[in-house]
Amino acid sequence: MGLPAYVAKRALVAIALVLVVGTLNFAILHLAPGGPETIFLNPRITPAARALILKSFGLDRPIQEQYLLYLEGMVTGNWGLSYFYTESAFNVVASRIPATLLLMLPSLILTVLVGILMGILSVRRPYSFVDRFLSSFAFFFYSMPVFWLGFILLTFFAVTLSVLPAGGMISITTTGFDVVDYLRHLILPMTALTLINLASFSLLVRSSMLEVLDQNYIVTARGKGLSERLVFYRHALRNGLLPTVTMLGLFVGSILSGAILTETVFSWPGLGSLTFDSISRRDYPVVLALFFIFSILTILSNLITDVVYGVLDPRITYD
Amino acid sequence: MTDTSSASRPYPARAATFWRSYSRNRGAVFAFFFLVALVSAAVLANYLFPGDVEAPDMSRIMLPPSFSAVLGTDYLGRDQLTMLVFGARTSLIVAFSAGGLLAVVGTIAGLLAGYFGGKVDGLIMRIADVFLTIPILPLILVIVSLTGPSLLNVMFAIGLTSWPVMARVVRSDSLALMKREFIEIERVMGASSRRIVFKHLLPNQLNSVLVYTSLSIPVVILTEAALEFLGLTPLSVSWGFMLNVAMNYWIRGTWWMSFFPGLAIFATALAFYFVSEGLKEALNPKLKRRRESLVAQIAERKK
Amino acid sequence: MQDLSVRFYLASGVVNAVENLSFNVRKGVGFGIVGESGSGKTVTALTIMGLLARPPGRIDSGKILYNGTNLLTTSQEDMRRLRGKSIAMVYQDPMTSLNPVLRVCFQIAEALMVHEKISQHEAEARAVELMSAVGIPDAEKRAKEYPHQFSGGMRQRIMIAMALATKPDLLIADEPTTALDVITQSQILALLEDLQRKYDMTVILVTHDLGIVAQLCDEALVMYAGHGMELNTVKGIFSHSKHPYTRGLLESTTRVDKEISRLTSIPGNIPDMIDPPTGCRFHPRCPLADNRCARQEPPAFPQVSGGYSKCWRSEPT
Repeated sequence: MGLPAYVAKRALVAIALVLVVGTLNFAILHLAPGGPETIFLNPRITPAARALILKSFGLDRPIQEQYLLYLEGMVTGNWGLSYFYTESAFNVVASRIPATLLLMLPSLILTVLVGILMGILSVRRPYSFVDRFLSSFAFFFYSMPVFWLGFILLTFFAVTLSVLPAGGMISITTTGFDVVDYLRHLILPMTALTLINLASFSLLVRSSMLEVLDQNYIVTARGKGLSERLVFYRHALRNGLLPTVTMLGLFVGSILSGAILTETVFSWPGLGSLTFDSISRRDYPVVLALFFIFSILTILSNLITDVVYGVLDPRITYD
Repeated sequence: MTDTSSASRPYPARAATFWRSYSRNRGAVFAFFFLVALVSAAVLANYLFPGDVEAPDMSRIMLPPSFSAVLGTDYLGRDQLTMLVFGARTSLIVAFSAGGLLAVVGTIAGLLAGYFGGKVDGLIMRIADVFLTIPILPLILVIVSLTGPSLLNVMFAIGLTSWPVMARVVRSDSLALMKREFIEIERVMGASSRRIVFKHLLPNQLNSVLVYTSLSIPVVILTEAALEFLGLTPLSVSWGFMLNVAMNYWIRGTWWMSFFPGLAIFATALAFYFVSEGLKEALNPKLKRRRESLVAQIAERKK
Repeated sequence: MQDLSVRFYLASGVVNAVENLSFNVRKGVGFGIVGESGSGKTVTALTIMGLLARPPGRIDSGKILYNGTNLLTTSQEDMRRLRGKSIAMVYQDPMTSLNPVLRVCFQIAEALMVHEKISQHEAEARAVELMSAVGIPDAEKRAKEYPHQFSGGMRQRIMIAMALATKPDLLIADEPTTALDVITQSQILALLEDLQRKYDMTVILVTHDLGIVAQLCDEALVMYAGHGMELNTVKGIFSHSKHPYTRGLLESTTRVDKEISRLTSIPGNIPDMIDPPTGCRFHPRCPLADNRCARQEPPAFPQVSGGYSKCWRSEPT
């Protein structure tokens, strides 16, 4: 298909997905008891704001128009007004994105690196002690609720040992951005988040590699008299890691969900804790906006991994 | 060749063989008994712990584990062990019902996709793809918070968003079965109604369906616990909610308030996971191949 | 090969893939191993190469003498040196036997780089030459391409080029034409014939198709259910085979020179390898079987030609 065509196709799919998400949002909006009026129009907002919302979402117009207006609002950043913060939901959500990224990205990188390492170690000698140990480790953490792990870490390190800070992203006393302080705060939530995702990711890597090792071209490679090391790293690994790239895209969704819970436990000021707070406060516009942003982030990361995959797999780049 | 297909032998013999291969996995056996104990405790909770679970006893608030309160007491003085056992009810109910729902929806979707193939298959798979690319937890959060925090909503939300994985599996099995000769024979003989084909496609897959349902349950449990943790259910006696409460009090060092409920969630999820592994090995050793084909399916999406 | 026995130890039982197999291949000869699927021929080939999946499979007895050395007792390291260099193999399915993410010229050149320690540049140049030698048009340009860009027949040629890169003494070809259409089949066979003569290689051809054996081989071994049933020159097999199984195979192939009114096949199915029939493995399907065949396994009765026939009917009187 060639790379440009492939990328274009993937981009189109991404856009279509965004539209689907918007539609989903719209549908849920209308499924809610009370409908969009109750959701968007909080009794406490000013009459001027009320009029603005009525108009921009067309709440007094027929449903098709509402739908189009809603989609338009999505694209232009009009996601409703937050009850709690007297700002647009968009602003509220956008301001929290950096904090979440500061937690997610290091966690993602660590998950990938260690996950691949674990997967490789497991597979070099399948069903060996190392393999079974690592796999058990993975199963163990796979079933663990991330917020429980967070609590344990928190209670142990922050309360009992008082070694690490107990929450938040930066200490109140620092001004500006102190990297060391950030890192100290980062350790616990990142560990919790990473351990759990590591579990499933390393299992996926292992599973993919095992499948590759079963393939005929591995026999061919051995038949040429290549050393096991060469066979494994040059032939098996390159093929085995390809599906991993795709899986990463799906994985981001999982990391985001985990972030919601982790941020809440550690009071990390990102999208996740905002979700928790908004739900508690029944700040629906923000909740909807958050879902939207989560979806966009996931769709975007899927797109990126798809493109990367396309570049790496010669079956797509050539012909 | 010896006929080892299970459908041809009488029940007791099948049950015995099943148990024999299932019990090869010691973890699975242990997990099974654990779950049996858990379910019994949940069902008999009222007899085991008479009295009102939710009644506060302010004289005993936040006591660490001791003889009188084996797992400690919570912020309202209630015994945690009792609360855990009652909480098991919610978790188990949601686990089985949402699990059942996603199994049913997923299986139907998979069968339709596999049987009709072509456009129907494409459509169903597109829909499934959407659910796989959108982060499910946020979606469930939105659905439940907007439609009202009731147990029913939770069940539906989880069940209706988790079906794609099941659908994928059933679809690939169905597609494979459709290519086999006996299906061709049925069609040629004029087995017009799909019902007849359902009598062939479905029974052959019951094993896989069972295994994958039990595999999905840990996720259901964790998701439901997360929902409770975030305060989206109306129940105060539930494992996740106990953790929510614990969040306000952990500074005072009340580790038991967060440790035990979390442990319960973890143990139950792990138990279901082990049971599913045991079922997998016992019912169909060939299933190992299919799980790996998930990777192949992902790769196929690229085209 | 002497007395080779290979068994697979599976959870469901023990599969006797190869039992007490013996045969001799002289240098420069085209040797065919014929049998239905499941007869153990591929396992035999893999065992020679040392490529058998060892955990489920086990070599329970036997020797494989190659130029005097017993391959079964050579170390992994030494086997590795032989593989790809002196003994090379062409595999059955060209669609899955090439690594999809590596360029074709690299895959051919790989054996050269490992065994002859030449640079990648040089090795790839030789690879291009090999590609044209096996009949791939426009080799220079196509060398940089990936396997999925070639057709099945082309891929098979690439595999042959890959095997021949190091000018091996022994080439094992496992069903090299099964996955291909008839036209391509004949092209590949012609190619193999040509190459064998040109390089003076010993070729072991594993196949289920007697026609191929007739075309390419001088001697052949007929296998059934893991046993070597008949070993003879190809002429001998086709004109006066003593073994009922071979005769059954011959009769079931279509021939151009005889008029056939009905297609015959050997009645019955290949036996279950976990629980094979007692005595002669073929007796349930053999038209000449008697009680002795069911109870006692026939030894390999040596024949005039130098080969043998494992059947009570071929017992010298």
